[in-house]
Amino acid sequence: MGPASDAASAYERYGPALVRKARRMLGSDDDARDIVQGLFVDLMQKHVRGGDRALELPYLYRAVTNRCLNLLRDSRNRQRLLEDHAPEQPARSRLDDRVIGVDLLARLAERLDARSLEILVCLYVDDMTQEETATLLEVSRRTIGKRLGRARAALAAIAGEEDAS
Amino acid sequence: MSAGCAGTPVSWPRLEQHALGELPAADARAVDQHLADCPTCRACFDEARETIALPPLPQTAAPRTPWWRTWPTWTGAAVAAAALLLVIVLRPDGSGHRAGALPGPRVAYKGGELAIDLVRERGGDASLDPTRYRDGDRFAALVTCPPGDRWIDVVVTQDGRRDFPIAAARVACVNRIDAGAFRLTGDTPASVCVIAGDERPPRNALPGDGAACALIWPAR
Repeated sequence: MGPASDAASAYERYGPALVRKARRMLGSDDDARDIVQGLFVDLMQKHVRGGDRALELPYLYRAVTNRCLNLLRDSRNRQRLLEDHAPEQPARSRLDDRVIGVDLLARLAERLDARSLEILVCLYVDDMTQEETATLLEVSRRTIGKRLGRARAALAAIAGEEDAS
Repeated sequence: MSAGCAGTPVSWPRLEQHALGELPAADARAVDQHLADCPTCRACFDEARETIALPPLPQTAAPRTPWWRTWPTWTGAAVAAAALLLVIVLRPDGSGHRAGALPGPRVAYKGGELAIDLVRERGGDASLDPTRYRDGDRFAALVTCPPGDRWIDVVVTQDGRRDFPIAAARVACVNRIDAGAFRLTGDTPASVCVIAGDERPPRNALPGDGAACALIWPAR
């Protein structure tokens, strides 16, 4: 199968994959569909055509990551997602069986800069290698390592707060 | 999944690309080899082949060239006069809704553009930037704001009553952030405004500077 020729055909082709990705981050099917629909409305408005890498799956994944993180940065949305969808299975990385639930992602979103969050999601939600992540985000492996260090520090701080409470 | 991958897991984007038959042959063979030995990744691959029903996209998506850029500058005065006339002619229709007092759906804001776009969903069809609604129609609000972290809030004014159907949120502004969804009911005009600010917008002020609004009329 060839690449998508325009945003509408990319939606048909990649939409299900992107809904699954957003669902892993948000734990909510409805929000996942809304996020993906909104992304493609935007792409249609920009008249993005086939051959533009914005219609390639890895870049669409990145766009969905950022839209999901935006949603999670708001405390009310976060609360709503947790109340409505807490029983659903959270994202679990196959890399080290780490669970990245909505709550944890949201708490990280409060503490970390956008680039570090993107890197964390690539590695621990999308299970990408550091090399894949560096290529997609157009950063060096060294940058990945540094930002990952910040993310791990934030994770450790959250774990420390949970132990203390 | 309860167990992790024993080796290096195949990333979700690669699994999805493999399910779509988009990986180069050599990469596809390597993924197949891994899947044969890894039940964890195989389960993920099965998930990647599941069918998902998608919400519809709007039927039409016309390019958004601002109308004033398509007009010769010498017509500016005439356009302004015509706009003033329209505001006078289309002034309040007895419903108490003052359309002329509202900011537009796109306004200059802090060196960029603040805009609200609505997607109306009705009976499985979606329309971009609708001007009409029927009782119970669902709308998704897409907000564009200048780059930077900002608070955004959506206010719907109808029958002189203001409603905040979507939680105010602090967002990293990009084009068309999905701000959330709401329904319109009744049969009176409604204005849907997005308010942006560095601080959480107060809910006791009328939309003015720092607001972009779309006006929706009830279906005839």
